[in-house]
Amino acid sequence: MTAKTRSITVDALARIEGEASARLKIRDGKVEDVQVGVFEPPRFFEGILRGRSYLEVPDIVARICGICPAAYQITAAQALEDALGLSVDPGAKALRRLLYLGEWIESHALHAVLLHAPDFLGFDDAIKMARVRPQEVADALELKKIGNEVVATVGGREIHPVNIRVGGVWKAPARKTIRDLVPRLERARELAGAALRWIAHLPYPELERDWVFVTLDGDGYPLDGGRIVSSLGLAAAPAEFDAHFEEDHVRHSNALQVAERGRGPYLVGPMARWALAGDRLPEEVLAAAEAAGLERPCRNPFRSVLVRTVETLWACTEAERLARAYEPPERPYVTGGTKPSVGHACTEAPRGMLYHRYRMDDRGTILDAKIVPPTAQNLKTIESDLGVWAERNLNLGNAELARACERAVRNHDPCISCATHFLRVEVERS
Amino acid sequence: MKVVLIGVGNLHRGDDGAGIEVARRARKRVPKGVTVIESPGDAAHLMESWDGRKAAIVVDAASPRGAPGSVLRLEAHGEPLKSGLFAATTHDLGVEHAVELARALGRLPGRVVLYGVEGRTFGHAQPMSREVAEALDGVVDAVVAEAKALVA
Repeated sequence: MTAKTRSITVDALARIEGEASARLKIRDGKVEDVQVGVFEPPRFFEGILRGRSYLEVPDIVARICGICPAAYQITAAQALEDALGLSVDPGAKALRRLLYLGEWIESHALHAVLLHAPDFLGFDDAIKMARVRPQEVADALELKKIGNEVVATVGGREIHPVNIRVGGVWKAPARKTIRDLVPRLERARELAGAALRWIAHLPYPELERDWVFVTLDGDGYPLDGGRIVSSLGLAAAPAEFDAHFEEDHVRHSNALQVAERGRGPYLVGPMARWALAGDRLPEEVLAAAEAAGLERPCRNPFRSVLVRTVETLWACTEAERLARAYEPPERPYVTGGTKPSVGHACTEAPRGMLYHRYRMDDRGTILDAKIVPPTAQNLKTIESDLGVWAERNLNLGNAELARACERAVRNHDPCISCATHFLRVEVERS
Repeated sequence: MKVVLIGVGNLHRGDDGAGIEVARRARKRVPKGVTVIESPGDAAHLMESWDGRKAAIVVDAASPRGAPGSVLRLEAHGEPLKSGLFAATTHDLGVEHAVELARALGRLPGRVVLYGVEGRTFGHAQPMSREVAEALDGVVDAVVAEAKALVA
């Protein structure tokens, strides 16, 4: 902490208990129905955006997700740049990537160690785990802190909490400011490597799922652009999202559930990225994954924690590379005239592919918006995984079965359940 | 800075903005030696905010229990907390969890005092309820007095 008084304002997401629920109907020893219900902020935001200036969009959408504001900001900015035909300077693009990676590090470290790993070691939560494994928990907190530092540094602490604007960034930090992140990112890499070594040996239940993976195929490992691709051979531009994916308003869930048209559920996120693009990881990360015994593709939802940790190592490695090579852009942001237009973008948030679309008028006023978060795309798959896992555990009493269900949901790190008391599981047996 | 005052919450969710509002008002009145921080409330951020300090005062909204606007004060540095009153996020553990995690890791300041303002409405883009809005000045007075006593 510095000696100066510091005010940090970060808009967080929901702080209410019980925002997610799962209902299982079991009849004659079989799971008859599974319903996962969620409360979903993005739908409110689509409405709020109408009538606003396109320039305000990144700041508004940053409030959708308290743990991944940069994902929303970057995707929104890219969609609006797409609409207006703006080309961001490479230096500004690199800064955005660095910011995004900082967010990946924070998010993945939090989920993998503090929210997910306790499940495997028989702990109710990270607190109980911290009493027995303090180093592992302290390491994860330090890793998260380094991710925060990257976000705060690129985000321009003094000027604006998160520095993204349409056309680039509001302010480009000096070369030294970014280079100073290098030793921190070296430390982060060490911590991620150490985490991988114990997460590799968690007791993983056996389960194999036949998912359809969807991710982006840009340059290198999926992060901030590329075509939408799937394990069944789909290859489409982000502008074609609606042609291939449809939202279904399912009665029991406040969220829209997404499916591939004519086909059905799919999976986005670390497992999908690893499956379809794992071979694009740098040598040293692939070697660490191999040493950890991670198979590719990985179809065991419980092993998502291992995939997430490999991704954390990649994020640290790639962030360090960007920080070393950083040169301030000539133009932190570019501008252009407004016109009636539609723009689309997909990027890979920590939890998976995120899609934004905006339509604006001749003055850049937003006419409508569509935001499809990764969790909405994974909901059908989460329900189906939950059903399968529940069926294998029907011999358990209701309370234990509920816990098993929570584990199945937590495998996917959805934006809906993280601590045991959030997921209300109702079991109806007949 | 020996003492930190942390206001926890989200201004966009009705009464969940209580902690943030208190921090903003208190900032102008706390003595030297007190840092004021606004926090989303995630455990890691809270721990970073109080790491190395002698004392922390944390203000947050508390879960509805029928008496919105009522104020609870808990000393957290002694016994483990079990109130269950500080609502957590869908992504992270709440204030009490942060305290217990810090305690388990030996990273809790010698003195930690929690102030909870019981809320009524927490919906998206909702304004603060009248009961909570009216309670805030009283909470500001209390935390400023607490902060003064701690730096003395």
